[in-house]
Amino acid sequence: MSNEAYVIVGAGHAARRAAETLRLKAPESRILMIGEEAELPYDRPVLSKDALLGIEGEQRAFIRDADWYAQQRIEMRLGVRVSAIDREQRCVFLSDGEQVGYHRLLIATGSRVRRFGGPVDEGVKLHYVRTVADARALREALAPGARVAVLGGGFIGLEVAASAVSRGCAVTVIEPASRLLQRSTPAEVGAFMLALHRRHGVDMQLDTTPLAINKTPTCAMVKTDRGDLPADVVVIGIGVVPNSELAASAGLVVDNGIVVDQHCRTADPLIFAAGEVTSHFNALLGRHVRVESWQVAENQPAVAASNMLGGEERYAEMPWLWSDQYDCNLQTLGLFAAHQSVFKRGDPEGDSFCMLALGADDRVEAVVTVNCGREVAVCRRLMAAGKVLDHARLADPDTPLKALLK
Amino acid sequence: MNQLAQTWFPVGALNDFEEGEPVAVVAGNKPIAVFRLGEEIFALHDLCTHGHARLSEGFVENGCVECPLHQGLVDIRTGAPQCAPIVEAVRTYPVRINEGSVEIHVE
Repeated sequence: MSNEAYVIVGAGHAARRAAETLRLKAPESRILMIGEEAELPYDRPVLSKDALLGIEGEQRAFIRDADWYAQQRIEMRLGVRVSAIDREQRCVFLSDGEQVGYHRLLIATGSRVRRFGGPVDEGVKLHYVRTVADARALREALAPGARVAVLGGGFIGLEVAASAVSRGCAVTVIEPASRLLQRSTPAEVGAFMLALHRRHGVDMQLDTTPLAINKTPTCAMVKTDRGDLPADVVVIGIGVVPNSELAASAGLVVDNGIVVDQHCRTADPLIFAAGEVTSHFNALLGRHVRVESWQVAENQPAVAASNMLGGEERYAEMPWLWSDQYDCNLQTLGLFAAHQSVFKRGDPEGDSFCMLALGADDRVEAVVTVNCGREVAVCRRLMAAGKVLDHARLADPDTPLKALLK
Repeated sequence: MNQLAQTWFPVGALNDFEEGEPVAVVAGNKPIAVFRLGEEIFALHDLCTHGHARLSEGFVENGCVECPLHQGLVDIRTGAPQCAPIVEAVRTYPVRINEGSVEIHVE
């Protein structure tokens, strides 16, 4: 068993990005990727959108094909789970009994869905949207006219609802909170998305907690604290949890994700972690964060890979995410918090608007855009430059945001 | 006018286009985003190869346009992707400036 390999645990988006960077910067190195799913790495954003509409949409999730990995000499061990890490021997144990030695190890195990916690009758199929297999199964189930119950009014739930509507389904969204996207955006955004979905015919049931899912002779019955809802298809979108158990059992620090510093290092100098599974120190925010988004899977692993090769790169980005629902594009950059003063630009009753949150020092800390993504580009630059903004100009609809860059 | 000449479509005067302010036009039934970089004009197909985004609504900096939906970057001169999630090149159209009039070649 040689210990020369750069071994990546996980074969998702983050693993691909790490492998790309390792190959680019270390042309002669041995790179090995181990993934539990039988699939090549894929990006997840389309899974709740285009992949639910057709096979072409699903295929767009795969950024690289098998030939590319072969050509790049990235060894792929798919359909195999890493069951343990032996830090002393510098090797990992695989579910098929094999042992693989590592020179440096990257844990990029991502997240898994949070399961519905209430009782579920036997024989009821619950759909989740996390893997390409999940998306395939749901796509098959979304027949025109099907009654679809989506449990959870977060980004995934809302994207699934929009996709199901475009497949001709009758959709109900059940959300325990009093408004949508409460955790991540100001109230106006939730209200806009609520109206958008209602306009598209979605039955939006807020303040409604699902309690159990029963089986009737013909369909599923979602029991809620406000009554029963019959459904042909039940989709659960209530968040994800980090796959950090492997790291924890190896004695690495886990606290809402695998704890790493801004260099993606764990306490073991040979072991790194990257992607959604990490709780990483972000110098821009001054604290550890775990970020569930495409951005962290895309960019953090490149930093980890460089540092596995002896680099000293740091990962720090303003958390950014997007969501596409119907023809609507929503983006958030930075994190909204109670202490901020929020400025609205554009009309939340109209087609497009954005909201900027300033900190006590009048610098932008967060922004959300609805159908005006160009402003995200401007805000990213306002944030990076640490511009102190004038309230009057920010509130003036005749002053383009871009003008505040000067 | 012969067939060849008809494939150049006038889309405005050079001075109609400002640096940093892309413009959406239609030429030969194609949606096209027109960019000014210095004294030059460039034309890209006005649809991102990744999302369903209009590049004419993107932010322009350093010769690249940033897709407004998912923040991918495209080189305005060549259409080449410069930053994920865009991986496929965007189609470019030849541009000429004919006595101050900007014309785009669409087959």
